Amino acid sequence: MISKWSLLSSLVFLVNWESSSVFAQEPHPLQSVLQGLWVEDNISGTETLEQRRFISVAESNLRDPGEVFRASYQANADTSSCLMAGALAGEAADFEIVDQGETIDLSAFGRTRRVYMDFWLEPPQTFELNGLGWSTARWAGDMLVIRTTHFLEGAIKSGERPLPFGGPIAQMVERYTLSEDHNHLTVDINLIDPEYYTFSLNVLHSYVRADDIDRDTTCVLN
Amino acid sequence: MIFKRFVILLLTFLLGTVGSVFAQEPRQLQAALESLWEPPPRNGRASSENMLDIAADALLTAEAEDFRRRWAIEENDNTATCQRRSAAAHFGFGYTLEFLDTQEILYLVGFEQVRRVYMDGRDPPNNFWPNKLGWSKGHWDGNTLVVRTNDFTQGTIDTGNRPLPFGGPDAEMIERYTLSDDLNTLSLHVTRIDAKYYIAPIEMHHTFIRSNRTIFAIDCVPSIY
Repeated sequence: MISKWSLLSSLVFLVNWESSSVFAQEPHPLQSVLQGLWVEDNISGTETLEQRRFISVAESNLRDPGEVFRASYQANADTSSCLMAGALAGEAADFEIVDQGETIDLSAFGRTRRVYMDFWLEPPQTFELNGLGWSTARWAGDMLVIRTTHFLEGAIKSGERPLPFGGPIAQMVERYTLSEDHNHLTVDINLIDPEYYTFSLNVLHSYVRADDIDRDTTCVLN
Repeated sequence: MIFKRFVILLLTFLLGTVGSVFAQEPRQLQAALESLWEPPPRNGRASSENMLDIAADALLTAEAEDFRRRWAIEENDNTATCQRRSAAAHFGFGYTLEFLDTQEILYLVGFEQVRRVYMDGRDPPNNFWPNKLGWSKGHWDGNTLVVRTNDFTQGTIDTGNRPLPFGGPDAEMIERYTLSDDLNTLSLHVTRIDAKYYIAPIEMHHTFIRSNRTIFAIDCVPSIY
């Protein structure tokens, strides 16, 4: 009796799912609208109140392994000039979105991250942890949600007060929402890393569409 | 002759079906569950406070995202206002839990709340109303205790500024408890299902160790915003 009920519940549940690896999402009309160049909506160019809040919350939530990371961190020891994907949380850099249909290319800090629009797509067996991680996305209404995992350990903020992030369980969830006129974009970033932080870290950046952006020169991996 | 065989077969089938409605024989394992259970010491391991975020944050539906946008923590903070939490919230944070066994009913204590798990398969009575603890039924699947809980009211399983909504007519939580061979470690797999708010089930795994620590109640003092 119970198994019959379970089976029926499971079937009803599966049919109700908004999406799954079996039922791929239809292409969203806003995906092509997202394409373009985006600059931070911050005329002053100085650190915003939101960024200061983010750093302050991150520092106050550091766990012991995070403090150890800080104590042993030497910015110059990493000869690579490439920032990790999570660095977009600590610093609202200009970026570019290129829509390729089944993928989106997201370029910032001189690196391009490929985002697969099949949310349940697993990385291939040959995939190795890296600073950009493995990104898949889906649409939740008119919001693009990108989940990134498989990060190599690194820093989302360097300098004298570095902030660690990454490792096997770290996860970044980005939420992109366009304004009604399609010329403004808010990016909500949630960094979840139980290894280094007691709670997840959240930051919200605002961008405006631009004709050109400051493109960082392509970074050099160590 | 054929008719007799048919009647015997029919009776056998009916007895088998009816039998599943009655309570299962209480397992010895059920008595062994009776204890206080605590998460093992961290020893530098990752904290469990945001493991729920890892499991759920990327799975929100558009309706759940909208729920978040409309959320005002000062109006809904159950912790600050000392309100009862959803039973489904308990296992996001790796707190203690305690089992008390009376064979037909397992009492599960957590968050200073008592949840009754009916082991005799009974359905809610007519005067039952959905609530934050829901209605829990348990059964043994081999050596694993399976607790299925439904009839949750709308609530959250994580509050703060970025709540995780859960509850309503379609929400369900399935807990699977398995004891280690030496009966001192309890493994728990929790599945939360709520198609209104999540595009897939939220899966989490916890481990608890048997504890003889003395615990006691703490008065909750409402905070004022």
